[in-house]
Amino acid sequence: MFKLKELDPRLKLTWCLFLVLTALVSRSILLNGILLGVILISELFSEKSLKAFKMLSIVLLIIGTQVLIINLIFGREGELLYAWGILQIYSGFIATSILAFLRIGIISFSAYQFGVHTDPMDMAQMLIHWRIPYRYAMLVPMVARFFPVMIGEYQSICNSQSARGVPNDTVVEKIRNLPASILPLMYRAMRISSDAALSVELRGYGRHATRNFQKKINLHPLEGMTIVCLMIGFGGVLIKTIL
Amino acid sequence: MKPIIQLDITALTFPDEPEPALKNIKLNINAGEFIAITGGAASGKSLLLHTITSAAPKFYPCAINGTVTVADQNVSKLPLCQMADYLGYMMQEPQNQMVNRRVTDELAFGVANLNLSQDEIEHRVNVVMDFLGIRAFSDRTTDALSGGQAQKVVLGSILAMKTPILLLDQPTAELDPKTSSELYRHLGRLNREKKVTTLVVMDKSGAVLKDAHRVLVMEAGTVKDFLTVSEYHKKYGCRKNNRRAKPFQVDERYDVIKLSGASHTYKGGITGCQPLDFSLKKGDFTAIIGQNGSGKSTMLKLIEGLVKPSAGSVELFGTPVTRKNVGELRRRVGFLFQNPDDQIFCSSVRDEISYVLKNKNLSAQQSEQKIQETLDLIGLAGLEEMHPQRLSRGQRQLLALGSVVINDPELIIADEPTSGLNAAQSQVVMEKLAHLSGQGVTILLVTHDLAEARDFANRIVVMHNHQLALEFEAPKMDNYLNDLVRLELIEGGDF
Repeated sequence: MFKLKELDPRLKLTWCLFLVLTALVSRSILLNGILLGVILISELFSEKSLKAFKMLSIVLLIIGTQVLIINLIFGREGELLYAWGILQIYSGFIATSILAFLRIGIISFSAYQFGVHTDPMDMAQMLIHWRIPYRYAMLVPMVARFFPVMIGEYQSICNSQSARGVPNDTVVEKIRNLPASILPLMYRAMRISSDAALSVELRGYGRHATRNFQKKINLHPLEGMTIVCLMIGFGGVLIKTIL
Repeated sequence: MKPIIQLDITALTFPDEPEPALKNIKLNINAGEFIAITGGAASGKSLLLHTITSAAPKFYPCAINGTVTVADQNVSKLPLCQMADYLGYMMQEPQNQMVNRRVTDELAFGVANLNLSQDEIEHRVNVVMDFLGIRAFSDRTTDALSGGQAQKVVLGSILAMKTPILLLDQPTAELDPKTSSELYRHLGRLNREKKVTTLVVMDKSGAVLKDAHRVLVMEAGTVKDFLTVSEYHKKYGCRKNNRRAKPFQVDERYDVIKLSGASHTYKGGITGCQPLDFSLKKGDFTAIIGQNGSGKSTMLKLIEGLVKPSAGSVELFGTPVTRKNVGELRRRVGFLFQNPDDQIFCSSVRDEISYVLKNKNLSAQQSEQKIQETLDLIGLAGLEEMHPQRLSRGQRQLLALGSVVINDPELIIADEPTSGLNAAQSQVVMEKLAHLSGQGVTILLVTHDLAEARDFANRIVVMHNHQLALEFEAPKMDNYLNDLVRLELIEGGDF
């Protein structure tokens, strides 16, 4: 069964770049709509649900509303529909808003899809394939591990301080108590980084010029062909737009 | 037998410190030996291990007058990463040492750095997963592991490298008694069968002594004694029974905490705890014990109002805990967390202790009196102006206790407050809790230390598989040993 996680990261990156660049180049609402649809369908096929996009969709709806309002007020494309003082509404504002919304949707959904469905270790291997020294490439999985740890640490500090009577329920209280939370967090961050650095050195990190992996990435010929097709496809869109 | 580790250190001194942190250490450790290291707070146990790995001075800058040799190599001449050929080192706080998101990637990290073949990496990872019983959670992300699971994963990553020397700094600090015994049994087997030289900084339980050959006793940065286990037992004796004499004054009519069918399920359907019916009477001192991942922490979070019950209800001081009143109720409760660094944030001991007094209408004189009383109680008088991070871990835990006690809480909830502390430090923290209990404060303690629960608590509650499985009077623990074995908390003959 089709699983996005199992695809080679180079194919996923090409797909992501294809979507982003096509969305930026093309002014066709139809093409952008199709691309957005393809992202959603591929997610649905792979994960059997669109749950991963839930939060992002809410954020996009808020942004979409802002885009609509801005285009409504400042859009000057199409025919003048209504004028009242300095407020002038033109007929093109809906098409422009839809195009902007689709573009933002494609860019954010495709980047999110790439980030969520690409294992950080696969990304590191991809960078190593591109001749990046492994000491730098391996920073990707390390950073991917560091973020949830620090979020957990911050949560645990907030919980323990909240339990200790430091008001930490509302946004205002959280902002007011930021120094109280940030100081121990910084201390913890420094300690974790220091321990992690020593731990990796003592586990032979940098001992050899190269390192191996338990599960290697492997570009299947079919995936290679898909990459070529995507590049040709983007070339086609580019030429069509220029002409 | 030929020594595999040789230390001849006259002095190891950190910059700006007048006194050496290690001094006059002359040690020979033979290949295949199993050494337990013990000593009081700041006695230099962890630093000794750092010195053997050459992390001091390469990672922690310091001046060493002397030499350290590992497998006939002067460690000062080897790059830090090359030490991986000779030794595996597991420090305290396993979560800090993991650098990969997936458990299997973490297990393979060290072996992959050694540039072994893919088949060999796969083989070694599979062997350690079976050896340490990691397979059950091998598909999890590392940030979702419990403390005990993280400890196993870090150890597994080191074992997979098959180094001839293992250095472990309190490897069982966050493990329940049964898992600790299992781990020491594994280490003992490795030592006997593979002749792996093992140095372990032992925790307060002393369970490692079953497998150790010799005990290194550190004091004030130097070796006080280097004894066989039997000599150590003769000289330092076993852990004494500290059962408190003062009776508990429990008011059976008043429930300080009441859980009625309260359960919690985390996102993704992971069970935190199944429906719990539990009450804590006024003046009681109840200890909750249970395996890692048995639901103890979730139960505390329910009581603290940090998570909402998925079903049932939670009452504190006879009032149902709601989002609106949780802040008010928390002011009557003191929480002591496992890691004191989570709750310490001020820049001096005095500021830390007096933080909660800011919201109270006390005169300067009253505040000062309370601060002094609290400092005397926790034994930190004279250190008022010191930065909390300069205190030892035990002192920081006492400071956290002081910052809780000064608020005159009616209930203290302590989540493994002695985890990572040595026997003497633990004793001090527990005696302070017992003192407060004697003054009528209700105490709920979560611990992995059964002796601590037996000696200081009035009642013991056992959690197993996210449920309350057993409850008994603490002094009668010996009558329930078979039940504790059945509930996988101890192994037969452990306690």
